[in-house]
Amino acid sequence: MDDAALLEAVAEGNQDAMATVYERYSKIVYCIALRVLREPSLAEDVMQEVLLQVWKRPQSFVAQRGNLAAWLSVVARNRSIDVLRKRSPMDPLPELPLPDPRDMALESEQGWLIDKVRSVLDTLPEEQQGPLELAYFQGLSHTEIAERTGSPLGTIKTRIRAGLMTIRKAMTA
Amino acid sequence: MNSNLHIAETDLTLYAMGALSAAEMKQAEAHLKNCARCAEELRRNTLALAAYAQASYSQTGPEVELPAGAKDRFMARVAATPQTEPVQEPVPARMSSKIRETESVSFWQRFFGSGAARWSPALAGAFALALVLVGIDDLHNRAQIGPLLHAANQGAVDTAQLNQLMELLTSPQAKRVALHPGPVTSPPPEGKVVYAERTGKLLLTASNLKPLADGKIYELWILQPGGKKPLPAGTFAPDSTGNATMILADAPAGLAVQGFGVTIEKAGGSDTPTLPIVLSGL
Repeated sequence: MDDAALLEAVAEGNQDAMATVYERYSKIVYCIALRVLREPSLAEDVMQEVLLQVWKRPQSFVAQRGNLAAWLSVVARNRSIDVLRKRSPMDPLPELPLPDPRDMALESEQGWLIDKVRSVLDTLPEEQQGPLELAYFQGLSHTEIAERTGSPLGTIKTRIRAGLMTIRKAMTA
Repeated sequence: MNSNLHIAETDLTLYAMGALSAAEMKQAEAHLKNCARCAEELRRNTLALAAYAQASYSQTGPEVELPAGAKDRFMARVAATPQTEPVQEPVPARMSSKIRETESVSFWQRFFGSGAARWSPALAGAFALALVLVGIDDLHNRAQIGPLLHAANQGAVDTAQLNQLMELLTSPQAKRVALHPGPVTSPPPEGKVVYAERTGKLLLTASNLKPLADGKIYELWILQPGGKKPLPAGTFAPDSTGNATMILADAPAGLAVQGFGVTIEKAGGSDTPTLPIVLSGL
């Protein structure tokens, strides 16, 4: 059963269908949350919260017929950063625009695309990979990254941008 | 951050990650509301970050195990969670909402029976006690319960209605809205402009601005002496709290400025101001 049909069943209140959604996506959501939070109990909380959104409002996903994995990945990361920042004096992460799931379906649904991005990540210079990881998975601001790495602020911005552009190029190549 | 024309690409990347400072995030947010080019760039960045997250998972994730019992805990929450968004109101903790919803009705049916007997002092006492038992008589609801009991004591409620009342009061799906005196008057909009004649640099701060309709934007105008045509000095949109800024915007230098005005224009701005004037100062 594809995601669209699964979500339609979820929208009808079918708990078995929701269990299938859980089987399919709980691990990626949990792993992304764990990578950010580094604490299994917090990561499980985020995973539950994110997947529970699918149960509560399946209609919104059904309407968009998007790539659920990509959408959930972004939500999992953003929610995890929110949790991380609640425990620190930083402001919580503002609501960021999420990618249109229809674009995800076209551009990154296929496993080969993710494989291409993964290959690129393997070859990404450490000077780009490090700041990208710190910003995306550890939720540090560019100022904090500059302080931690001892690099100038402008250099950090440029390196993060260069890392992301490499990923973007891999997606369109 | 380049606030004059477009957001710098490096800043847009950081914005997509939420890695700018709070002030920079707000500034970027305001710009993105009215700039299709930057919004498109942001969309591409967000797509790439989604792929980054997925690719990172495929590097290490498959080896990670979910905590034992995680699925059972999740499915228990699914079973206890209605699919419509729950009401933004704390449910009394004495009983879970699920138990209350299913058990309270049968309790009331047993307690009051299904007949339509008129209200009596004994039933009024029982009703009050019952409200306490199901957690309705908390501080939040007490204001509502008082008039209700009064009306019941006046004979306005019969026992058949009581069952429905208890269903209504105990249902977690019921929508609860507190009403307040109204209409509430919003504070008037206000703003300040600082303009450097030598460089043409301009700073605008404004607050209490009303939200804009789709396709509309606030526009700042430079009012010149001698009845000359007002000059457009940039567009801006308020954030969710009604605040807006234009920081170091570029305006023509060397102008003899009489004052400034703000109007609402079509997205993209206009060549001449449209009445009414939202803000002005001479």
